[in-house]
Amino acid sequence: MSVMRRFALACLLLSLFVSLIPAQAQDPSQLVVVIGEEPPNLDPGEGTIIALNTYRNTYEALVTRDAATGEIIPELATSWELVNPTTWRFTLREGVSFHDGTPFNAEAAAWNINYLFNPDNNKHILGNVPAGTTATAVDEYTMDVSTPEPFPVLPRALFFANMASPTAIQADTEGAFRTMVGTGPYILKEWIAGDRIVLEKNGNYWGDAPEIDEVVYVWRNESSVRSAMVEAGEAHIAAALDARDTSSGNVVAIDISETHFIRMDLPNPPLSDIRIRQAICMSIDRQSIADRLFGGYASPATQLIASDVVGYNPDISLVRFDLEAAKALVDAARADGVPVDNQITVYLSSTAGDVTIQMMVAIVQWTTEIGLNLNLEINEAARHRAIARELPPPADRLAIFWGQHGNEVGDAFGTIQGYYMPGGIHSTGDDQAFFDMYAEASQLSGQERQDALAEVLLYQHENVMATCPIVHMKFIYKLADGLDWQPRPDHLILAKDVVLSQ
Amino acid sequence: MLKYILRRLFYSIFVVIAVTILVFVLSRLTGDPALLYLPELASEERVEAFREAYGFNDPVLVQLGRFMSGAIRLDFGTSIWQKVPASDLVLNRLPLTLVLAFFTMVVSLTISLLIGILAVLRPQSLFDTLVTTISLLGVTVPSFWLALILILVFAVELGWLPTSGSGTWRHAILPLTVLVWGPTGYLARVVRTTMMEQLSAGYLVTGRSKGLAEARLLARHALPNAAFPIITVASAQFIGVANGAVIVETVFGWPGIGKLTIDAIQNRDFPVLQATVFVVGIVVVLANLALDLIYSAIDPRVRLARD
Repeated sequence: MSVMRRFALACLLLSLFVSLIPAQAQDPSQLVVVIGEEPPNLDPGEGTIIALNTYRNTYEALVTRDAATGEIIPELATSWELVNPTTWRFTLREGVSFHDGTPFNAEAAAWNINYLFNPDNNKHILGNVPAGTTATAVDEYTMDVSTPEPFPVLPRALFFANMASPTAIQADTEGAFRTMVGTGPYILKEWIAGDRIVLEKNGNYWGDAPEIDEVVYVWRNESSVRSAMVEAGEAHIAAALDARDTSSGNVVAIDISETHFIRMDLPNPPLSDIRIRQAICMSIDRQSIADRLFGGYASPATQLIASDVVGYNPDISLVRFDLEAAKALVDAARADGVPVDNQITVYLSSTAGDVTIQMMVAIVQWTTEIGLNLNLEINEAARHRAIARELPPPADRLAIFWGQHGNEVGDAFGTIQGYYMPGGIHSTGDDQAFFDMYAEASQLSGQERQDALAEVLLYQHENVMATCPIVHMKFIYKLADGLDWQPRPDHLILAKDVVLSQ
Repeated sequence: MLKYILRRLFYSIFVVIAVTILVFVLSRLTGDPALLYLPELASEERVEAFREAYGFNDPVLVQLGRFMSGAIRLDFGTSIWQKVPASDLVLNRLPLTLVLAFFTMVVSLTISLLIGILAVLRPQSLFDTLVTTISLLGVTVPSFWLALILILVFAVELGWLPTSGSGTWRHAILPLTVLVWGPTGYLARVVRTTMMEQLSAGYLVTGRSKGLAEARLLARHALPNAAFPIITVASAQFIGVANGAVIVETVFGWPGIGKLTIDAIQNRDFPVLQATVFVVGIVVVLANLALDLIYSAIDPRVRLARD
């Protein structure tokens, strides 16, 4: 037998051997979710999407969101009210205990609030509430949360405050956060670092008993691999897919509060002239970006916040893509002596992803066509953030920064303070009328607050234009056949809401 | 021999320390992880508090002193992101990478020796052309692309193997296939070239004229003489994979040291980065030492030169 024949035979035998191995069977009582990253730890004070994806079957908060409307609804608190301008009173659910048997009551809830928002603990969610926010137990199931200044959106901000067993947190003297003891429908069974997190059904759950016995989280960086896992029958839900992985299978998508935008330094010319800022915003073809670059899984944005955020203004119209009109604005500014030829640097983070880089290259090209002088500079993430936070900007800096903003709290205050108000990390504006308008709006609540914040954003759009919103993003999932589940705008994948067919 | 090994190990300590300090200083010069760790809109006060808490406001020399005093006890500190001792993280991940690296080299060496020698025995034949083509593909095909194609074919379409993950030998097949592909192509070329040179050497002509069998000539004479460049290249490939097969680990979700290192670099998780450099440095030193010992086992001249 020749060498070639032996080699071919060996290959054939190997193929036959491998083909006899059964593919991994799916257990109908087990839900496998594949996400992009392993959570670095199980700290209840994390507020990232990765953490939200992983934690919220185990940890619960005082409030949650309605899956359809995004409205804040009760979870571990049954009701809440504002008892004075700086104090919210929460009535807590009775008969709830943590997975380790510690009772959930006002004392435990207050301990959690004080722990999560203590500046010394430097939790990720610390900035969600005003510095100095504290909680006290009033009685067994009543708790007061006080803020140093009126904070009408406190219940909304507490969506991120995961309630963990004080006993478990205090026992973790190393602060390693390798365990997760909450009140939720699933208990942490095991975390095999680097490989998987397994949750099992909580037999003592206070709410309706979930149908699925076990939830397994695995993580793969590559969107294509996450997609392939669903198609190969290894996972039921693949989260955060790229548009290029949506050509087959059961794909669902939902609008989320993530917006691509650029923000401009306002102090120096030509960016100090609003006509130039308007011209830049007019030279962005948002529809093409949404359709071609993001494969339809994005929509043109009129403002930095999405429609489910308090303060969203539906009356703000989309800046039309009109290169001729934009060029006319630039020419008019030039005629008035504005130095429109000054070079403007567009800063981009290297972690933005290839689609975002293509988007920014296109924007630089369009703005060049209207007579401006822009060049793109890509820096690694930390350097990008450091440059963006150099405020007030250096005297000779002419900069535009790419950014992706997510208003997870669900109220425009964080967005406005961060990007438009004095002291904001990314704010270079100086319009006093705007500042006064916001200061007044920020004290309101309910529909008054919605209307006032919407007016603030409209004023920003028409008179300041420090930012150009580009597109709102969609979060894309691929689901296994027979899986009944609707994605939520808050990213949560709650296993208790999933129905698996046999 | 023992004296030689001890001397090499002694000198290696300084190499590992020097590399670790170099990485320490260079990584600090690029800034700190505060802006990556904290939310985008975190206030300057929070950023400063973070820096203070982790000691990033101290002068680099003070940080270096603190690091060195811990490193002497193999304590590289606690991971900023994962909040567990950095050395534990690295030591937990290292075996998985070493397993991949070891089997990659075993399979790669076996295949490349086999096809390289067979190609030499039939120069200009169809098989020789095939080996040359495979070598070329091995060197040029991007492992990222190959990994995705293998997943699509063997996991999604055929359903023979898992797409990714770890835990069973079946999970290792696709990552190994991708990892083996490159070194095999490269090594097969080296085997073919070096063996070709040996086959035309004078001592083999003499051997043939004395009537020695071709197989004996190849196995006992040509191969040992061709072994040096093959082993040198193989060890370089091994060190490359042992340092972390980043792409393969990332695509296949293989929890090895490569992904850990890249994440540590991107997140500026300095304790993990330091621990990784230290541990990988030791692996490289040991691999080089093993290489030297193999050299001297193959060639007595090396041994004599050392003595």
